[in-house]
Formats: sequence, structure tokens, C-alpha cells
Amino acid sequence: MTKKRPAANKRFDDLRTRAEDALSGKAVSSGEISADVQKLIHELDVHQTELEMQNEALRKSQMETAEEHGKYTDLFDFAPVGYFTFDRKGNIIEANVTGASLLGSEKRSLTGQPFRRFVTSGHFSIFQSHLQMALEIQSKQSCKLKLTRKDGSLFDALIDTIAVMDGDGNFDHYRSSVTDITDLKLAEAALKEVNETLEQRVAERTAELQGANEQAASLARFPEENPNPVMRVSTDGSVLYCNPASVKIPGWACKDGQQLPEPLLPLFGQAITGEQETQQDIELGERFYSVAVVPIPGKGYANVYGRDITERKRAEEILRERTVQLEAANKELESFSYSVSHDLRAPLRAIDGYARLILKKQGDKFDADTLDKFNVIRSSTHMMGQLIDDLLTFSRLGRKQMSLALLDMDVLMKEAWKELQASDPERNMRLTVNSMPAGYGDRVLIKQALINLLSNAAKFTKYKDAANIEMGGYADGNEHVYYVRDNGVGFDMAYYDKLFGVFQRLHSTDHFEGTGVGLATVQRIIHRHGGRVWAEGKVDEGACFYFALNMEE
Amino acid sequence: MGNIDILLVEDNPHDAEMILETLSQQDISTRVHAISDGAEALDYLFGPQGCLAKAEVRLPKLILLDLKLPKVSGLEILKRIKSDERTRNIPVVVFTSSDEARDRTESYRCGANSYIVKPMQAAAFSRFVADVGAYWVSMNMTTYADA
Repeated sequence: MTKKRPAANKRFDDLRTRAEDALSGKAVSSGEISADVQKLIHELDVHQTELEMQNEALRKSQMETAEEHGKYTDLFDFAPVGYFTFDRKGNIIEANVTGASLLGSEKRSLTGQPFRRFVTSGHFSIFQSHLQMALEIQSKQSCKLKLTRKDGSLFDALIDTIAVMDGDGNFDHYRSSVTDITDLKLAEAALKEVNETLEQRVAERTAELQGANEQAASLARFPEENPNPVMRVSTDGSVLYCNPASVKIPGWACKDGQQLPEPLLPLFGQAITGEQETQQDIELGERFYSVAVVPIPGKGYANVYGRDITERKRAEEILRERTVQLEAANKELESFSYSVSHDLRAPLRAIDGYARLILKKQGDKFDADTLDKFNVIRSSTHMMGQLIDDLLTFSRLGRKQMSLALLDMDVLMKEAWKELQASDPERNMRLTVNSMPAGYGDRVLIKQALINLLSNAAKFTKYKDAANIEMGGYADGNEHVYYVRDNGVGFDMAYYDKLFGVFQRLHSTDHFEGTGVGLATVQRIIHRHGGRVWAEGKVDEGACFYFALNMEE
Repeated sequence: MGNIDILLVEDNPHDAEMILETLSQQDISTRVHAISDGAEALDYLFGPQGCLAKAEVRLPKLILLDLKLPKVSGLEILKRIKSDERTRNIPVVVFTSSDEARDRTESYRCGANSYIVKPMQAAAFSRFVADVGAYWVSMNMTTYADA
């Protein structure tokens, strides 16, 4: 037994010496011996027991150490990082389980193998210089390498290495940790991509903002370029901003910081108090402006916009004067026609009355020539009377209050025809009524127009053996068109302009009686309805008169 | 001086002559008193300043009234006649040149019993006058005719 005993006690040493002495036959008395032996045996027994106990404790301690060692081995082997120790040349001295599995190898098979076997060929030199640096600089070095597993697959690894020195300061070994950073790389790539996208976005957004800025700048020039006054005015009436127009235009002549021009203050105050957009026409420096004050809620100011409406105002003024003149003229016309109806008729009645009286009392004494001339006097006064009546009717058309309604034109035409026939029951006329759409207008006036058109047709067919009069109508877009056609003497389109004129006649009174007011009346009635009248005709081939009523309402 | 049949208020002498001429030609004689201005017409009915006593107020069977009269207009006379209970029942026929709607409405509003526009032609004029005379003097019975 060459093993050193732990802490052998003195008594045991004595015991041993004596035991050895006894065995070697040195002088020991038997009496002494037997007593000594007895004592010795007892001590030996005690020692044996002690020894056994000590052995037991030792075994236990050994087991605990092994257990502890196992624990640390596990910690080493199953750390989440690969651990390697390399010799100076980079051969693997030891690797943990994680490191081995990173390389796709068994832990045991790695011992003694050069690590470069697992480094992709392009990265050999990087690994070499990494180790070199760790040794030279004597501090932890890091590098990234592409490693090849045993099965040939690649992965990215981060290697941290320190050079470990022995007690004399000489190199002993390299200690390295190896981490698989494939995920990190992927994350980095993803991050890079995200970054790039982000940068792209930032660039785009910046461009957008620049565009918007330019637009804003351009918009900001808008009030500058406005030829009308534009201002921003604090609620107390002092100008915060005024555009060049409001500075330049006389009467406005605004300046930042000054009060609003005097004439604008009442309107401004009204808008501020009422807290709503307020607009008014205001005279400023001999011109008129439509001024709008727009209070901006919660900002403590209002925007003021001016627009020059002088021309419009002047036009309105002229229009107003014209209207007054027109009304006066209308009044005059009314009193004129009133006195016509009274004063012009009276002399005519006297002429006709006395002519009739003279004829009645002394007619039997007159010769034929005188009688004839008396008749001319009487028929002339009748004609004059008719002219006055027609003219009055015509002038009243312009004054008559219209009451508009939907009109059954069929019924209206038949009524008109009946009235016409009643005035001359002897005439042989044939009337054809085609279908007609409803009209919209004043019943009395439209009927008057129809009577005039029908009597016109009757008049100009009076030399025909068979007078044919045809009426009808049709819808044409927003208009309803009605017509009265006859087979009478017609007219020359060259004189079309005179057709609807007052007192205009295309035929002599010898052939066709009348005052020349009938068609003018038709035109006036239809125009008052906002409609149109027109005609077509040919000499000896009849005529057709049209009128169109607007149906939009 | 007994009551007359027709009080004619007409300022135009020619119209008045034609009317009188026509009425004189009738079979039945018609007593007509012609007056040419409005004020005179009122004097005739009520006396100067309306001095006539109730019993003495003259009550013709018809007043033939022109509208356009000197001094006091026809409408004014009409109003006076129709607002006085003594004369309210006398029939008044407005006989005028005017066919203006406003004159017609005003006349009826003031109580006219009839409104006739003077025809332009002499023959029609005479016929109208004859018809009016025959109707209001011979056919129509007033409330006071037998009084």
C-alpha cells in the first residue's frame, strides 16, 4: 500500500512500531507481551472500526464528488452554446455535446480532429487569423464563419475565442464558444429588408410631403394673386393679414395691424356677434363691393372677402330707372286706352247716329249718289269703331292677369269653332280635328288665339267652293305644337315679316275685311305664354299657322 | 209737376239727342228729364243742398246714368243714390262708352242694377235704348210705382 494515509494518528504510529518490533523478535517479555498484546488487540479492534467508519465517509465523499462532477459535465455538455478547446494548431482537444451536435458529429469522434475540417474552404484563413489574434492580443476575439456539418449542410456561426495560458505564461490551449447564428442571420436579413422598405417609404413620404409643401406654397400665393380684396381680421377689428389687392384698391387701403376700413365695421361686428357668415353690398371709395365676413370659430379672427360689383350695381340702377319709366309709360298707356275707349267712340257714335237720323227723316229726298255717300260715311265709322275695339282688345292682352291651367285643347278648339260658326251661320266650311295633346295656359287667352286663327282661316277661304280647315297638334320635346291649316288664298312667304304685325295686311280690304290685328293678337297671346308662333304658306295653295306652348311647368 | 219716367244723366249732347229721339219714337210716351252734369242730377233728386222733404223727393222709374260726367262722376252719383234710403230703390242703369272691367265691377259694387256699353253703330244704339226704356219703364215694377 503506497497510498498515503490521511492524518494517521500518533497512537497508531506507536502501535505500528511496536507491532513491527514484536514481529522482528526484539526483546519483549512474555508477561509484558501478553498484557500488551491484549491491549493491542483491543486497540486494533478500535482502530479497525474507526478505519471502517473512515472508509465509509471516504466512499460517501467520493460518491458526492462524482455526482458533482457529473453535474458539471452535464452543464458543460448541454449548455446552449457549443464549447470547444483547441490546441495551437486548431485541433479539437475537447468539445461539448452542443458543439458536437452543431457540427452534426459525435462528441468522442471530434477529439483530435482539426476544426478546419468543419470550416468552409473560403473561411480557413479567417479562422486561422482569428486564433492568431486571440493569442497575440490576449483578449476575447469574435468572428463569423460559415461552417459545414458532417452531412455537408452549411450554417452561419459566431465564434468567441480566448487563449488560455499556463502558470508560466506559456500558451496552453484555446477555449472557444460556437453559436449557430443562422436564425440571427435570417432575422438580420429580414430586418434589413424591413429597413429598406422603411427607407423606401420614408423617401416616398418625403417626396409626397415636398409635393404637398409646394402645393401649399402655391395655394398660399392664391390670396396674393387674387385681384379681389382678401383679409384676415382679428375679432377686435385689426387686420392680421391683407392681400395686395386690399392694400392697393382705394377705399380699402388696408395695412397689417391697422383697423378695418370704417364702412366695413358694422357688417364685421354683425358677423362676429352673430357668429355666422354675413354678406352685404358696401360702398367703398366710390365703388360698390359685395363683402362677405366669415368668422372662423375658435380662432379669434374672421376672413373678409370683397368683390367689386360696381358694374352690376350701375346696371341695376339703370334697370331700376328703366322699370320706373316703363311703369310710368304703362300707366300712361292705360289711361290713354281708357280715354280712347270713351272719347274716341263718342264722336263716331255721333257721326253714325246723325247720318242714320238724316237718312231716316230725309232719305227719300236724296238722289242715289248722295245716298251712296251717306253709306260710305256710315261704313267708315263702323270700320273705325272696329279698329278701336280691336286695338283696345290687343292692348288689354298685355295687361290681363293670366291664370294658367292644363287645357283640353280638343274641347277648346270645338268651342272656338262653335263661336265662329255662330257669327256666320251661312258659310259652308268643313272642319277636320286631328288628335291634340293637352296644353298649358290661360284658357280665355288661348281660346281667343284659336278663334282668331280659325276666323283667319275662314276669312281667307271665303272664295273657295269647299272651305277645308284642319286642326291638330303634337308633342315635340318640351313643346306642344298646334296648327290650323286651310286651303284658302295662302300668302307669299316674301311678306312673312308682315304677317304678325299690328295693322299689317297682306290683302286689300276690298277682298278681305279686317283690321290687321287678329294674327298680331295671336302672336301676343302666345308670346305671353313663353311660346312661339310661325306660319307656312304659298299663294293660292293655302296656309298653315302654328303655335307652340312650353310644357316644362 | 208730376214724377217723370226716366232721369237721363248724360253730358254728351249728341248721345242725349239720340236717346231722346229714340225714346220719343216709342209707342208709349215716356217722360224723360235730361241733365248734363252730376251735381245737377243730385240737385234734381234731393233739391239744392238736399233741401227737399222726404215726400217731395223725386222718384223716377229709372235713372240712365253715364259714368264720365263733369263735376260729380257717375259712380259718385250712384253711391249717393244707393246710400240714401229715399232713393235706394230707384233702378239705375249705367249706360257708358267704357267696357273696362274696372268700371263694370265698381258700378255693380256701388249698387248699379244694370251695366250697358253704348254700341258704336247707330242702329244698335237705338235698339238698346228702346229696349232699356221698354223694360224698365213699362215692364219693370218699382217698389214705389203705386204710391
